[in-house]
Amino acid sequence: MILAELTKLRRSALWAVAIVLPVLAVTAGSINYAANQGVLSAGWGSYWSQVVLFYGLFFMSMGVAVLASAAWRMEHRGHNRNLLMSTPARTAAIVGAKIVSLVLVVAVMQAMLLTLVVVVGVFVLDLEGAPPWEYVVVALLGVVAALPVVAVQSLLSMLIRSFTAPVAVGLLGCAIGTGLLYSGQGGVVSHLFPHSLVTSALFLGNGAVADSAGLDLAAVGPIVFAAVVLTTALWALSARLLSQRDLS
Amino acid sequence: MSHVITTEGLTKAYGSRTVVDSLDLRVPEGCVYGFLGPNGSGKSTTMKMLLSLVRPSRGEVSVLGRPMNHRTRHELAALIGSLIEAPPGYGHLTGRENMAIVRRMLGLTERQVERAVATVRLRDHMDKPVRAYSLGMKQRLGIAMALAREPRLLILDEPTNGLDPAGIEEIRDLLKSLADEGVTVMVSSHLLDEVDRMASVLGILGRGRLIFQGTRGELFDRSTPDLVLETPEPERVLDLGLSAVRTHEGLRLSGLGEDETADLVRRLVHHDVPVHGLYRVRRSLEEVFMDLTGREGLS
Repeated sequence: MILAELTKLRRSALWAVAIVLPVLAVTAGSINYAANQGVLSAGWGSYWSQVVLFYGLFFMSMGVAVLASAAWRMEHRGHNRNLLMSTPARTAAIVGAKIVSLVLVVAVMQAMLLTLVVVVGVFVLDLEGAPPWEYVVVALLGVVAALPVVAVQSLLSMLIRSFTAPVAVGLLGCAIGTGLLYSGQGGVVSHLFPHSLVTSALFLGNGAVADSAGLDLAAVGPIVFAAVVLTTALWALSARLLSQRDLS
Repeated sequence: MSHVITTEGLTKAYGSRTVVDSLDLRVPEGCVYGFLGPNGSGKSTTMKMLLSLVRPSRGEVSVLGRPMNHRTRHELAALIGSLIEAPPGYGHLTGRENMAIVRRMLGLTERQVERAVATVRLRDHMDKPVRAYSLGMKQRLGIAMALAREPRLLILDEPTNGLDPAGIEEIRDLLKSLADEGVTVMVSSHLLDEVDRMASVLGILGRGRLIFQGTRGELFDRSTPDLVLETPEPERVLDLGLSAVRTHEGLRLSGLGEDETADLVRRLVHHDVPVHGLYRVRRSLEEVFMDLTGREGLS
């Protein structure tokens, strides 16, 4: 099923999202960094904080929402869901393959972000020293933390034929996630909410963002644990709903 | 005779609206089963319930001797090829890539896929994106997707939609040859003539209810054809108190079975009415269908 899903990604518009969003994030972050030299300290840390600020709060989760809507739109169009459901695969495998293929695109999006951060930092902003290796860890952790967002957006897009409605719900999720993180309700509650988990992960080790934790096991462990638990629960729920709901 | 599909009281209701009502289908093994009915009569919903794409509100479905439901669907799916509502296909991919998806989802060999593509004569168009296909080509691709798994049962919803007459003839021959090889084919169509020429067993649906199921011969027996009486003196026949409609041949009499026809002949002889000819009208399947569905027709 995963190979079949990967075949569907060929020449798909999903890749445009994986490229455009990091370009927007790095462009906005670079402009912000360059325009605020007086306020920000010079160097990779400040530059990185500007890039991941909006990317962590909105861009990444919204990108996942658009990717999930586009991925399920392929199935809603042309009655491809009938084809999908007429295979011997169990619904858990169908949903699982869709989640895996989406995570692959998200990983490419993260790789694109890292590459652009380094290229712009070195060649455009002329930052001193080598880019810190921690950014690779944060980017990878971002992929893991995005798993529940992928799962929940995939579930919404599977149930709702509209392209925009799940994306709108995703935007609402970003707002709620940010609210949970910065309203003093953080901790366990924010770790149980997919969108705030992404923000928490991308802000790790980011000195420029208030309340961000350090990049250590005490911070990473709960994020990974919460991501695995939430994703498993959402995957199981998706499989059950797909199995029991009528195809209209 | 063993049945590949049986349903018992199969019903689907959406709220207070019942779209399929208490169907007892019997699809014999190795036949082409023509599933007829006006638009909106519940054919597609029934086919979706047979494939467990839609859950029945009531009733049971058995396919290939096993209960078909959302728990067993994946076990039976490898044996059932289907094309429901409209042909599937990912428009941004080529025909070849679409067939690769089917091959990977079903664990098929390249040879199985190539044979299915050759069967629907789509080999020359496999490198075009599906979005550039005509409706007929999409239909062929959908049938190839259904055939690739070499199914024991094919369920096809309006498979000849969008095909030109030559394409329709090809599909008709294909389905008949598959049935000859032992594959059971259930096919719905709004083209009665098409089903008439390929189906050996018919099921007719009207307003969600099965109003006929049986062979073509049994269907014609169900609906008695009109009698045409050729006579130069139709007034004398009408004077006998018979209900008839004047036509250019003479008179047309409806609803007369074998005994009533024999009685009519006796009375005509008794009253010395000149008779140049007396015969039953040859009826098309469509006329019989219109009779059974209460002139609801196919629109």
